[in-house]
Amino acid sequence: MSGLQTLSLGKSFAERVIFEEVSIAVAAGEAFALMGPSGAGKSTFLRCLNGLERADHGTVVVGGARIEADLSPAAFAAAARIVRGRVGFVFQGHHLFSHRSVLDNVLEGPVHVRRVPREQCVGRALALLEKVGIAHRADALPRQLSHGEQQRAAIARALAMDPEVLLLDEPTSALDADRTELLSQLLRDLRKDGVALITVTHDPRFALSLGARVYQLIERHVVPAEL
Amino acid sequence: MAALLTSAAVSCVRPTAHTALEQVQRSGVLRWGADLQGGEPYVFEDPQQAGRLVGFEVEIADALARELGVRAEMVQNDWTTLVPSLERSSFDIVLNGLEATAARGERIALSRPYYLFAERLSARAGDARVKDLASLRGLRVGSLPNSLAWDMLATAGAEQVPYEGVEEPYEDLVQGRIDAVLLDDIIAERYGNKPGLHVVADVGQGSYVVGIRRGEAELVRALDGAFDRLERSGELRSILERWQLYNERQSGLASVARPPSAATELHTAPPHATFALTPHQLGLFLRGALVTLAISSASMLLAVLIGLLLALARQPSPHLLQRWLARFATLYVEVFRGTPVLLQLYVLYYGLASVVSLDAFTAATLGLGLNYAAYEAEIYRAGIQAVPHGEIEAARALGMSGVLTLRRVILPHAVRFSLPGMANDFISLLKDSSLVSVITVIELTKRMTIAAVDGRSWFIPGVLCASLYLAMSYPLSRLARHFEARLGGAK
Repeated sequence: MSGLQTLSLGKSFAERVIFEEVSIAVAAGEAFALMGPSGAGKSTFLRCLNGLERADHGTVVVGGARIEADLSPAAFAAAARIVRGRVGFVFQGHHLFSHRSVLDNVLEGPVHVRRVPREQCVGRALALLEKVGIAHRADALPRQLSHGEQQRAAIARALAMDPEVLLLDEPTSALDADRTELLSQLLRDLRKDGVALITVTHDPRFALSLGARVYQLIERHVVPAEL
Repeated sequence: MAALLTSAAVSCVRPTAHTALEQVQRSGVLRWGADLQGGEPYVFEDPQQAGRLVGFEVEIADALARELGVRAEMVQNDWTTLVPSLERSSFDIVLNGLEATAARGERIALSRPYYLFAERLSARAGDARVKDLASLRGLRVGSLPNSLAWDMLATAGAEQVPYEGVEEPYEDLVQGRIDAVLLDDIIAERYGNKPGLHVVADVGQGSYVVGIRRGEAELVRALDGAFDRLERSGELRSILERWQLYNERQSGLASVARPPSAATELHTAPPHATFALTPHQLGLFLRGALVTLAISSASMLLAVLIGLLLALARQPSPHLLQRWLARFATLYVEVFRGTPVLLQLYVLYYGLASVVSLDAFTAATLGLGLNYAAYEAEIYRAGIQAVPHGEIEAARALGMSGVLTLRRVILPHAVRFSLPGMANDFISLLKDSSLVSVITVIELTKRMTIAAVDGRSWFIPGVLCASLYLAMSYPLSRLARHFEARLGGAK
């Protein structure tokens, strides 16, 4: 397990600099929380870490895989796909595949990206759903799930690819206190398994409950937050 | 049931205040129905002066009108439906290579003949199969539907291939799309003179007459009198000579017996419909429906495949090659959506005949398929645009390639969004497939037209034809609604 590092990462939209010279290192089993004012660009930073967004400068390193900002479009796409194989992403809106069952959502990565025969994946997929507490909803369609259940399905989908790093965008934004605590428990368990967590959040208590190093994105720089 | 339908006649007796002759004299105009597509030498547009009509029948019409003390005015009408249009008073007379036949004589009144012609059989030089009328059994022979030649082909057991113009059958004969052509010698002399073709034989003869509505004996007498005067003065002969139509045969004009005609019967009730719903007729209709279904299905399959490629080509992309593909796809959609499918069929079948000689079924399928592909492409493009963007990002975040994302996420959604539109398009296609009759395919609508004109009744063939279309489109319509409901539930 190797965690994730950034080296002098920078990103602008047109004339506006979102962040610059960001170098962080998150080790395996470590949690890193990024806070900051709304619209500061926290989500953009998170999306640069798996190449959904392309940084203008710098490098993202995940084990032996790396995304360099100055690659050609084709080389960038290839590098990003390798990194995405080791980095899971949980969207704020979950973005489950609405035309597939919960189980099929979880199977999508292993079966179609990794090309492992379906029969060999089903047992583990059900175990993952059990782990996130929605095994009984395996055959449901995403729209039949509650918000919290959808989020758990999205986490299970990401975990099915055995990520070394899990990126989460505002995971508690729609959860009440009890459900936030359940999520925190789940994520702490993942830390014990050696998964590096990087979460964007506006909830300091959640960040602390994860035992995360807490930073904030403020005026284009990522700096330790004073809580 | 069949007997009931057979005896059902659509008749409404319309009391007319004036006879046709009084009408003509009162208005000062003799309206004569003809089809410009019959071409040279009958009636056609002067190539030197667009809009001006010329032809030997134009001169005959002018001469007849002058004899009646009025002026002539041509009314354009499809040749195959000249008689029904005469009956519904679209014009006063039919004057357009109308052949005197017993069946026609029963239906409408006929004047004395003004031209004697031979039915001329043409084939490719060296094709020994075509010898005479009897040798045509089972061969594909082109002619004009509802003509004397058409009936002769039916009797001979040939496979009749219908054309709307007179140039096209000979072109198709050269191309090998048909085995022979049977048409009047006037037509054969002018249009059949193509390299590789030869005249096999004259296999029958007949006469051109003027058609007049049933019971209008006064107008028949007036026209006969006019013809007699034109013949005695030599004007008829000089018109025919001017158009190089005069030959030995014409000297018998005066002595030819008038065909039995309804003119002699003075009752004004319209004739009873004779369309009989025999098992044979029903079989022909079902076969027409099958042709419609086969062409529509094959075209739709083609349209779906090409449409999908076009829609994918139009997706935004940074690659230069793909941007050019997108431009081509946009041009394709604009051209095929912006021009009539009828024109596209003509170009594909006749226009490109010297480059690629497609058989009629292939050309019909290709023509409709290429046209509908433009519509399908737009449906898919809208479907692809409706795919939730977040799910595409989720697929990328899982490490999916572009192709895999397309296959696993974009297409399943896009197809679901597109299904109602596709089902609706298939229904339109079923009906638009009737257009392929212009390139000699006898599908359901063409079968109906032929049967209706032959049987002097539009009601039963029309209802039968409509029922068959409905039987095909209703399940599709249900399917479309089912897809729509499913789409609504998924939101």
